[in-house]
Amino acid sequence: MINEKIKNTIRDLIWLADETKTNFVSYADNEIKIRFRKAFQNKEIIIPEIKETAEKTEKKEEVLSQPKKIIKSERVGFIYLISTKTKRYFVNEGAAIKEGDILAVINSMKIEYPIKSPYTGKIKRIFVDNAQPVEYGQTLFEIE
Amino acid sequence: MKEKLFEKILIANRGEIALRIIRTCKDLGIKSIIVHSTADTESFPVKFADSAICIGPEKSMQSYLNIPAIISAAEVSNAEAVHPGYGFLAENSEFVEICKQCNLVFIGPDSTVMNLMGNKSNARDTVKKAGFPVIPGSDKVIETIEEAKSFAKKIGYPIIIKASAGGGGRGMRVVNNETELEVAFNSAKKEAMEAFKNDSIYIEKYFKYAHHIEVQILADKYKNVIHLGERDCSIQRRHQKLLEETPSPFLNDKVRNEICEVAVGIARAVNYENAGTIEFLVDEKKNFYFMEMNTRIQVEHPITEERTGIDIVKWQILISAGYKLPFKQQDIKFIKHSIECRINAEDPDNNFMPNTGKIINCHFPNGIGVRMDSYIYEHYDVPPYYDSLLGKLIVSGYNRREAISRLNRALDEIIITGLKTTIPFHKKIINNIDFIDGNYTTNFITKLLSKGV
Repeated sequence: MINEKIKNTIRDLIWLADETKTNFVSYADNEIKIRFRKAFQNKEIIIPEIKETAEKTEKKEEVLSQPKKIIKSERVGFIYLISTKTKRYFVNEGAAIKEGDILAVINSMKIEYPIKSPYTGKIKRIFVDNAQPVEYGQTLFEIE
Repeated sequence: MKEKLFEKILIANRGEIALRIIRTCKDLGIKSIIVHSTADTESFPVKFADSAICIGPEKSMQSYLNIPAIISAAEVSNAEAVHPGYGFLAENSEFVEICKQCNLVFIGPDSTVMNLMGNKSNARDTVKKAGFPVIPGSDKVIETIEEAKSFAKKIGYPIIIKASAGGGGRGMRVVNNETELEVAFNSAKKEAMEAFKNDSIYIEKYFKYAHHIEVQILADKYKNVIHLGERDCSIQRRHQKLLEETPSPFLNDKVRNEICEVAVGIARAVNYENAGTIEFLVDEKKNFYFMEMNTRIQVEHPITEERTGIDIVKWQILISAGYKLPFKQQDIKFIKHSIECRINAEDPDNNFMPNTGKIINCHFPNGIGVRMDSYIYEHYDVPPYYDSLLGKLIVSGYNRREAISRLNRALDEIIITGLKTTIPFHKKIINNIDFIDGNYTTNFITKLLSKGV
């Protein structure tokens, strides 16, 4: 049963991440591929994340070389994809959005700055995780 | 305060000084976090720091001077302290205050001392009141052109207009007579506003033939204040230092001791803490006057490090972390003679016009007594948005003659192509007979240039 297998694998990955105090683990075989990243609670582990994310974003940008509707971060801070009011994601991949919709908020020096979509369309991809630190110019969303 | 060394330091600067600070962080086992603009993504500080955070676009106003972005970067990276380097936010007391409110240790003096000494006219008042000699000048900010005119008449021309918040020659104008005054006054104000977000200016008597001599201070949190000797920075072009040396060939031991003692006295009088530099103007008769205090690391600090063997950046960090200075004044040994040449991306044959672009070949000199503090490398594209300093060549020897020989050797070895630099001009300076004789004033470069070199 594939579902059972996914469930068990996820459980194992959570255990592994806790045990090794890492925040990113992945598993892949012929059938499934799981990437698991913990949301940041412990600030101690943030530093390696920034470089990793930045590098990854660059690589992705190279692949997507034709003009895309990309939304980049205009400030440094923690990005929140989940609304503190509704406790739900502002948007998910595949969601239809209108110009002016709030896609996320960035918390910078304890002030929350909403990120509003300049486009109407569909969220093709979310490049960041909830509560991760973001830097200026970091790719956050792709709209189609 | 109990001493506990920082685990992470955020560096709010770029270029050679950012790299300089990263190096000491590594020596101390401290993780370094560099913040940078989009123009510096490919720079060595970004590559060599333990982590890097982009804080804004090319323009310094939106990146290296962007306080909220820098504080946020410290927040997300969990940095405990901020090293500001020189320039940018290094002498911005508002930034120091914000750091404090955000529980970030600012590596430098506190905002009160910075306000007192960083602001040139406040500093002058304080030093004057403490009984130390100051240059004749306006005891307050000059607000209007009328005020400027009447004051200049009182002390007599030539005068110099300076920015209260300034440094590095920006916002400064020498005025020889009243007809030049209005244009100089307005442009100095404008330049000061652009460079320091503060357009207050003041006026001083200008000495045409003078020596610019500064004293390096280290002061901990326990009222231990020592000096690391003087630096002669008289070789300047339009108030921009080009070459510095220590000890000064102009001073004798008696005046050297006096000026260093006065510097320590000034630092004590204001309860100064951390590394700082007290600048003096010394006239032909070796009378010296306090000019200003720089409450930060200086570009030319390495010559003092080479002369004394003390890592000043290390002590900036340790003092901020609450460490006590382990040495007393008598423990400081002044062994070497050291000289620094600032290698700028400027064309000496074309009025020192700054130029930017890609570096093609880059080779740094080596060998005994040679140190190169630089952030450039082969194929590095020098961005046009910041100052033109590419690096500093620092040589040292057991006496001045040995230092000059080594400087000649090192300047011959250094290769930087693709950009015009001040390297050939330095060769001319150090082979000039007046320089070799140690017989120069702040007028040296003007004289050298007028001979058509």
